[in-house]
Amino acid sequence: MRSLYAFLLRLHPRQFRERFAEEMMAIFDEARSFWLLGDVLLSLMRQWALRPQQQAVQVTVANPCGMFQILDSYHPRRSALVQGAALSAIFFCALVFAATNGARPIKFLIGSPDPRSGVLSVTRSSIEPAVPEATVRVPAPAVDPWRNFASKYFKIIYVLRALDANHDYVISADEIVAAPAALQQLDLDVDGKLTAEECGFCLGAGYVPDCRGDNGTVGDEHGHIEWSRDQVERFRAIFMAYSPVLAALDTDHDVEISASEIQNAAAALRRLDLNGDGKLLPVEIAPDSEARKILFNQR
Amino acid sequence: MRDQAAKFLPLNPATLHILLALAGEDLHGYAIMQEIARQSEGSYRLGPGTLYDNLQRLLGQGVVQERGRTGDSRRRYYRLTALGRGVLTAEIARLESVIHDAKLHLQAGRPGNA
Repeated sequence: MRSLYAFLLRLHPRQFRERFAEEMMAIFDEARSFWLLGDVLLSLMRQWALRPQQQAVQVTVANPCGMFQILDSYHPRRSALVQGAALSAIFFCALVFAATNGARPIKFLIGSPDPRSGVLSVTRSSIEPAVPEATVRVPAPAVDPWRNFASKYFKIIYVLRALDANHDYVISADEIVAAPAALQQLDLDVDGKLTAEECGFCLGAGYVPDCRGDNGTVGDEHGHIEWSRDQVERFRAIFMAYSPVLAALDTDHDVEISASEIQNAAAALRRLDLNGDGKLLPVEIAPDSEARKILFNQR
Repeated sequence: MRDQAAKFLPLNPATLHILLALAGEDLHGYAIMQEIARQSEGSYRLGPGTLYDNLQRLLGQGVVQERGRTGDSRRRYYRLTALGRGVLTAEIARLESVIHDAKLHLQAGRPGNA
């Protein structure tokens, strides 16, 4: 109880504490009454709440005619001054040490996957003390096989290129919703439907789909390649079946995407969303290997 | 002096009891508390917190002064200053006037005097 009373006394304002705490403690030691704890609590609240004017710093004027006044008689302890001086010296020495060592040139690791005479050698003394100099070969960045294929895949299939508005090789939910409008942009002859050619089908640099001869063949302008009409129709069917996206859009498998199929494109595309995440990932729109082989062989 | 003492009136009960306790002799804090308890026959108990809060103010006002320490180094004795005696005298006079007026009013209010 005495410790608690002493603690509460220590919480009083300094001016009051220094003046009366000793006497109050003496009274407590003499009276040893529990109600004194309540009294000191009340005193604590009264001193902080009702006696703010008594906490004002008493200004001692050292020189009434001068400009400087002493606000407090506090002086730092001599040990504190010594400690501060020692810390300052240590800090200064550390600063000087850092500055002098920091002036030395810093060696960076420099490497290349294709080292040439112009490529600087690398100092790796911290890693291999026995071999102070070595050439570091940085491995070539990993190539995403799907991205490499998708760049060609989306280029060949105009429908995919039109659907993938942001060119990330993923048909997002928003792009699925916007599919009818995107497909209508491919309708160059404005007949309301998309032929295989409008979807990206092409047999060569000189291939003109409307240039059918009387013998039922089509050929390039140099006459190097000549396909029969049946062959071209078969190639069109293969092309439309090549991509799961085209196959899904051409619901009646008539080798063209009709106006109604364009309007229902969003629903048709959503059927390809196998994992139900709302977008068509590469694995969901990649062509099967058989169709890919056929198309690439034709190209 | 009278005008100066009048500025302190009326005194609050704690101040009045402290000044009354110091009127007889110089006392230290605990003795002031005991004297107050004796004078009020135990009906008024003053804690050290209240006592020294009032003493701090009275010392600042020059009503009470510290006499110094005696054998027990932790005890300080306090005494009334001339101003303090004047304040106490003025307060007692004020209280006597109040009592006088109160008696007159009470007598005037008796049913037999009506």
